[in-house]
Amino acid sequence: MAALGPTSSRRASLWLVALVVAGQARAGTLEVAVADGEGKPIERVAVHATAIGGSPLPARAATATMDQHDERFVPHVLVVQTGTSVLFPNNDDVSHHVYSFSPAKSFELGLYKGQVHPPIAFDEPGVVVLGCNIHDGMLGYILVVDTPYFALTNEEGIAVVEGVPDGAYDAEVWTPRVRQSDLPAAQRLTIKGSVTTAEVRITGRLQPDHDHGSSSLSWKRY
Amino acid sequence: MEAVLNVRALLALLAFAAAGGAAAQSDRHELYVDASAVFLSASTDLAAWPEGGFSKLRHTDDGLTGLRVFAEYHGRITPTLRAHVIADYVDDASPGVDITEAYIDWRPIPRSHNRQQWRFGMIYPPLSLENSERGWQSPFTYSYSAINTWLGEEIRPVGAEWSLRRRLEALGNSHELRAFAAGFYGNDPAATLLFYRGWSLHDRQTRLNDRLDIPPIPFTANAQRLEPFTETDRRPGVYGGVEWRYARRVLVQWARYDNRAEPYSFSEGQWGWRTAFNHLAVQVSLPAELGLVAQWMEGATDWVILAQPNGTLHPLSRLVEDELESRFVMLTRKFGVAQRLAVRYDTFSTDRPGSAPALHSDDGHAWTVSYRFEPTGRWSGGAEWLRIDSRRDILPMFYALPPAHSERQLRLQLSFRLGGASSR
Repeated sequence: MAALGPTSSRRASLWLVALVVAGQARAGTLEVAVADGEGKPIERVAVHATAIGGSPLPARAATATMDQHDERFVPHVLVVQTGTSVLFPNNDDVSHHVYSFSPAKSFELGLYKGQVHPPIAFDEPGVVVLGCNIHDGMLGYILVVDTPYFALTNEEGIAVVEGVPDGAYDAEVWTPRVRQSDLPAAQRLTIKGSVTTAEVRITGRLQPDHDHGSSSLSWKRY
Repeated sequence: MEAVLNVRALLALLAFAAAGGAAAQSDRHELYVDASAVFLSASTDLAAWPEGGFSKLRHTDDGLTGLRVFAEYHGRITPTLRAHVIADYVDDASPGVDITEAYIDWRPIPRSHNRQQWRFGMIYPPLSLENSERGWQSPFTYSYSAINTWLGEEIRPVGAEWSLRRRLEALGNSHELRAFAAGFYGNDPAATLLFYRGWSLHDRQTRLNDRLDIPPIPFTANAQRLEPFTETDRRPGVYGGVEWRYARRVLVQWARYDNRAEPYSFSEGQWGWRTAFNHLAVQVSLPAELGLVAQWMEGATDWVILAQPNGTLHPLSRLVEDELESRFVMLTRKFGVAQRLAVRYDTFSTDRPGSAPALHSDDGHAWTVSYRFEPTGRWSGGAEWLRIDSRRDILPMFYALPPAHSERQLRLQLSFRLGGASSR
């Protein structure tokens, strides 16, 4: 027994390596192109894919950051998995008072600068609308989803979600720029290695991107 | 005399700077200090208005006019209650350090899309779209528009203001509505300076205890020195307005102000002037990163002519109504993050319909071109060219001066800021 020990242990290690390699091979990349009714790409749209069937993935004890800079929330839209703790550092030299009254997470971080408040855990899926009680023009969103597979669209309107294990998924898109009833229904997709592509059209009336007004003007008063 | 004042300004600056450096990092206290050196070259035949003249310019001398210093303090009382004090140092009219605004701001945490705000104290009504920087400065030009110059000179209620904002729907709808209303005391002589001196374009804000010289118009001066924030009749004034915003693209605001002063009321050397105006303000993001800002004001004041500075009435005293009107449109564009160009056109008039001679008539227009450069958050500089063409019938009547004047001013400014960002 004692003589066999090292051999079997080596064999087990080899199996493990084989499993890991196989596991990597059985994951793919999901690329979703999001455009408006006229086919123009839309930036900063959240794309998330939820596995169909199987046990729900455990909540992830990850951390994410919603920065405040130049009296804006950065990023404007943050996507996190359920269970993620989010830090709200204020990198402005004016105080902010961050709050949300959204059902998914209601909280407030009293007047502060820098990083004085502990992170906030987002335990329920949904949309959390952020505001600052001092600067009325500040608006940000945290989308909490029950999956680790998500991304935001880039300037070309494409969201790239990497490392999605093979299987069937419901892919959904989300943006604050349309009425929520105008968001397209989930699209069923099958991931099978390499790259799976999908296209989504958001046909509802698209509102201007909140932070993209003329920087020549001051929109913050009183 | 000027040298002495400049030394005082410098000392004030150093004191503010030391305090600012110590307090700027604190959560509870925030102090911002701005100090500027201003160089002017002016061309006018009239005496500067802070010296009691008819010029629409604040300074008519050339050269270094000295240091401007202002400080803005925010103190947290509770997480939703804050105190604000804004003070400045000036070396003209009533020189020294004094307060331009002081108020308590209460913003209960919103529980819905409705957001309430209360302000109590000495405040500017939220009308100006230019004066959005700390210290009620403008990020666009050094000299404010005629409308906002006048607000800075004579409009500063002491009272309570309530405002309610509603984002119609945060998701998929970018419209936002706001309503505000206020009741206030003080501000009863408002418009006295406007009708004696005429409209003006500059950056001097009247402070709490300022006493301003009025041009010496024969037989009509009803105050020796103007204190525009005096309460003469214990009747509260009101202002209110509504505002619509669409994303960061469009802002339209309508407001009305009425000091409800009793024109025959007299207190502390000041007569009441019943002054009321309507005000429309528009701000639009245009293509090519251009921004447009426009304001329009029209109103009237009822006041008693030949009322004496000692509180008595002349046998010929009577109530008259004068009208005021001004508008401006400004185009502005940023170049990179550090440079800004702004061009503004103002028109203005005061008039008594059907009256001749029109002692208090003033009619004119102004062009302002401004370039600003802000290489760092601490330092900024810029140049501004201002030309004001106006006509006042009173000038040939009493002063043997031509009625029409074209005043010009070139201004160079270098500013140093301590303690924080530029917005309020």
